[in-house]
Amino acid sequence: MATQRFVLRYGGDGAKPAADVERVRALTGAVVVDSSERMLLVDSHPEQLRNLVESLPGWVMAPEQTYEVPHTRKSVERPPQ
Amino acid sequence: MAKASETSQYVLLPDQGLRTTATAAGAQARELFLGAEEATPSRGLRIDGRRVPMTVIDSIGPDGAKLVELTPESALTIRSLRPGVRLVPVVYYTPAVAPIEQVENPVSTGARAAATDTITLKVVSKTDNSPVVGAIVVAFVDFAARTGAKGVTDSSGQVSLALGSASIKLQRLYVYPLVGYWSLLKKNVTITTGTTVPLASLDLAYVDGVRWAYPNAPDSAGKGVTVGVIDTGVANHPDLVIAGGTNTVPGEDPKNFGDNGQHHGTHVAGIVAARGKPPTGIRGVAPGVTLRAYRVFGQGSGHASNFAIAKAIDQGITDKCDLLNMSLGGGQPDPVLKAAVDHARAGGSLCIIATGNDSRAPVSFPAREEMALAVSAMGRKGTFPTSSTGADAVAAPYGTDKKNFIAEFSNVGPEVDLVGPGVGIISTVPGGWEEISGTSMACPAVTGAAARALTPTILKMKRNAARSDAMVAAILATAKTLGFGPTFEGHGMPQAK
Repeated sequence: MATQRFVLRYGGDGAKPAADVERVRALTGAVVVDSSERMLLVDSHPEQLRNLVESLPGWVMAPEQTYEVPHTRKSVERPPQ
Repeated sequence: MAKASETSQYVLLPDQGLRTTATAAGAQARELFLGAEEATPSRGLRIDGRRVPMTVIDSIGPDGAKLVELTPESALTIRSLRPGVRLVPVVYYTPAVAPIEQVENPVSTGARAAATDTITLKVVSKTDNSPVVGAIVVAFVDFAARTGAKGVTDSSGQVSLALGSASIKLQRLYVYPLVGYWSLLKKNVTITTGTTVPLASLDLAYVDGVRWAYPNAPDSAGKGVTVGVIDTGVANHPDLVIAGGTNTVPGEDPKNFGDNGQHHGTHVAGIVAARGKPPTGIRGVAPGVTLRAYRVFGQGSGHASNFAIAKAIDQGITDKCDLLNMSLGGGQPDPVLKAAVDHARAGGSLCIIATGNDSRAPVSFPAREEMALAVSAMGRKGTFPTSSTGADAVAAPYGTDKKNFIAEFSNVGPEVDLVGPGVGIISTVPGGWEEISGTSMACPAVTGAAARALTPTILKMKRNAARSDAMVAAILATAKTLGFGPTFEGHGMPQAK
């Protein structure tokens, strides 16, 4: 089963609990790619990670997604026939 | 007689969770929620002695979330008088069925294949005929079908366009120069190889939309306020003083928060805080602010992840930013980014976010988040050349002053809180100055004006939700309607204090 990249964010008071982080790191196949005081960026099998996060109080999980630089330049969609 | 606005359904929520708390901080919200239980169509809701027309359709309890029906005007009043509560428009989700692909331009029997004939244009300076390098040229044979060709001028100012003919009539020709010139829009023009396209140079003393709305900002404007620009990074520039910053893109150097090559963040930063003086530089709306840069777009990349943006918001809170300018958005709603915006609000920092450039589409995420301030874009005739691409943004509705209009590209909706100038805006970019349009430009103009609205009393408050609420109240109090209506302008345009 392919891994996907997810963002985990701790919404409780203070920094993310170290014990929770260890449980994520210990998850088979999970790789922590980056982290911050409140978040983890994790490559993992979706279901395994989701099951774990649901057992960790105060955490939310979402797939990594991207936002574009917004601009107003007009775009060509197809060449002339 | 003025037509009464139509009512819409909203969910009335406390600043966090679904029920108000009995704490001192939540007292005003709790009082409002309990009072709402007694609201009737004739009595309405009472706030500070004022009657606000509202009907409660359903509720999860006296102190809990309520489904209510009210007009956009009533929604604005509640948000203004009680910035600590949330009014979220009711949204109905539909299955995300993939659209069936349609053949838009069928090739009839005997039609030739896509032609490879090209036309070479030369883009030059109108002043001295020198080549304009790096300009994006977009030529439409059929604008409605978006049929045409695109290219970038080379070192000699030339660009080759695969238009299938040696001479062709274009419905529209757009030229977007990178540095130093006004953009250009020509309609119904015939071009051939050798056609020269002259561009007018930017005059840094020109009164564009920002300088019309916020002229002659004093050096002290915004002093004491820290503004974080969460964007593509900010370049060193003679008009800018950058106090610090961070790069939150995974795998990149955290200390490299300079412009990533897209120019966008540097342009945004200049609108907020440029300290130059025309005609040799430009002035932003609040030159006195402390400016911090948070780069969330990778080097050379046009994409930023929710992780990088949320991390930048967190860092902005840590760095004691009062205002976080976010001229970005457009993705799917995301609980991580929403949590970060809410966390900022709870921690005394306010996210000010562009509504998006999808031409009257609904306000994009994360601007639509209730705990953020969403900014739409307006323009004003006479603040950009009629030959520039800004002319393309002129559209109804027009304001009380008929020179003012809501930019054609601006997203709008009940989540709009404020409007700012965003058409034909001149600001800083690496190596000079550039004219760009967008809600991305309106947003920092409002952020600069917001910085000027924050009093020392507010800035000394403990960094918590009450501080954020006080900031919102102070900012909204300076807003003046331009006559577009709440769906387009929210409370209106913040005035410089």
